[in-house]
Amino acid sequence: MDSVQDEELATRVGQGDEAGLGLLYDRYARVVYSLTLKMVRNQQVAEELTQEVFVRVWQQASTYSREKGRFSSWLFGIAHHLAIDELRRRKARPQQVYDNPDAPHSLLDVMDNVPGPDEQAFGGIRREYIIEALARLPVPQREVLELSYFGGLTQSEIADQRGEPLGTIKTRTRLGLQRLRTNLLAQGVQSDTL
Amino acid sequence: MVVMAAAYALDALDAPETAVFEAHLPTCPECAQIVGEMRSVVAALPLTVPFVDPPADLKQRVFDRVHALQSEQSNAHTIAPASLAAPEPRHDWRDFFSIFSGGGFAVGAAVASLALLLVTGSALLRQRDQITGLQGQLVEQQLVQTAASSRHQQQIAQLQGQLAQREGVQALINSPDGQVVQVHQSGIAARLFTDPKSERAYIVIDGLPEAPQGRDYQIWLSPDGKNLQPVSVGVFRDNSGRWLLEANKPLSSYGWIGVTEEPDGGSPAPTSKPLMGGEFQPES
Repeated sequence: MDSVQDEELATRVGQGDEAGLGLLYDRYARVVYSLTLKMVRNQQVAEELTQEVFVRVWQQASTYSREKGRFSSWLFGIAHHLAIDELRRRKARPQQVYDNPDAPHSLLDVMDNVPGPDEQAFGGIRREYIIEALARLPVPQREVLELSYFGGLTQSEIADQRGEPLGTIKTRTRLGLQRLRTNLLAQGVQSDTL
Repeated sequence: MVVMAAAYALDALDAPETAVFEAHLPTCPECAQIVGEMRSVVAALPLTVPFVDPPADLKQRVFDRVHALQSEQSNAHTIAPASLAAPEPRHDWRDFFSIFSGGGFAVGAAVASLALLLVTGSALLRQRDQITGLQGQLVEQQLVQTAASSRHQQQIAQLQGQLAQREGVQALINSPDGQVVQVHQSGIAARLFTDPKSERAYIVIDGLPEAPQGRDYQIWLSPDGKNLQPVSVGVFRDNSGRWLLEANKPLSSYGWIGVTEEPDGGSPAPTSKPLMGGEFQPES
């Protein structure tokens, strides 16, 4: 059953197949929980968000289609939106990775946490590829991506926080994502996967 | 707008910006393509976090919620018990057997029972076929309706996007403090419609050729044209230049505008001599 494609499982879940939901949970709960925990920095809230993510998969799987992109993209999008909503709702920003050298989730921690060979590929992208591709970005571009994606900061908030022009932040964001994509393609990730 | 695509893919626009961009998105295939590509890259970012196992009972909690939802839906859709009752049979099966009652033949009863099963089974199959056919028709109708609805929503979004842009430009042009400033150089003309107190300007640039392959144009603002620490306010590549620019402080803080040719996606700072650059003086 592990070989069943995510998209097929999503179709089954959309038809009310609980076993399909169970398989998707087994496949992705760890990533979803880890992502939300990193963003909200609160174990109880991360558990609630992870629970809500899979309940939404159950409720909305029938609206998912391959045209919306990879299933993992769709799933992580739900998780990210929920965590962003939580951050913006409570207006309590997490500690910024680059402002606090003792922060537990700096990129160096990530690099120490490179998975072993048993780690599976998610949606066609091996984990070590994206970690390496991110590490290769110029630091200013990587900072902006991390503050946006994991810190939940808007472009204007980053500009204010860094004391840099908004246009510079926007340009770095775009260049950072473009270069990340280029790095992944250079590592052999198929373009139809991205 | 293209420069907003990456931020949108990262959920890094604030609510008003998101509304403006989402209104624009259905009208712009270029932005839609960029957002699609960027989102695929963004979707890989969760894989960079240190993995932590969720609590063992979390899966059961998910299914508890799912079952509670199912129960709620089931209750909501329950039909009144009276209508669930089996319909009264037109003929009692004992009536059917009564034709044999005079003879009291056990074989007759068995044959009749078999005939009843066959008739009933056949009717059930026909009913099932009918239901399947009707379900198929229903799904087809729903698909047609969904497609039509989706097209209508797209058309509405396109119109809303155009309207939002026009309203934005109209607001700038109609602003009591609105000004038009012009800069000409080397056959390239830039006109800015702006309220100097605002951070937005509608800019019209004429005279640029199409950007070369792999290159973009980038618009810069600076307090003056001498001690340049220009701020990037937009990247574009076509030659029909009409954009809503957004700076990080009121336009009255700036006095110089320029356009350079940069590598695809723009640069953090200008890497080439401006194709056009000149001072302007919006009055604050």
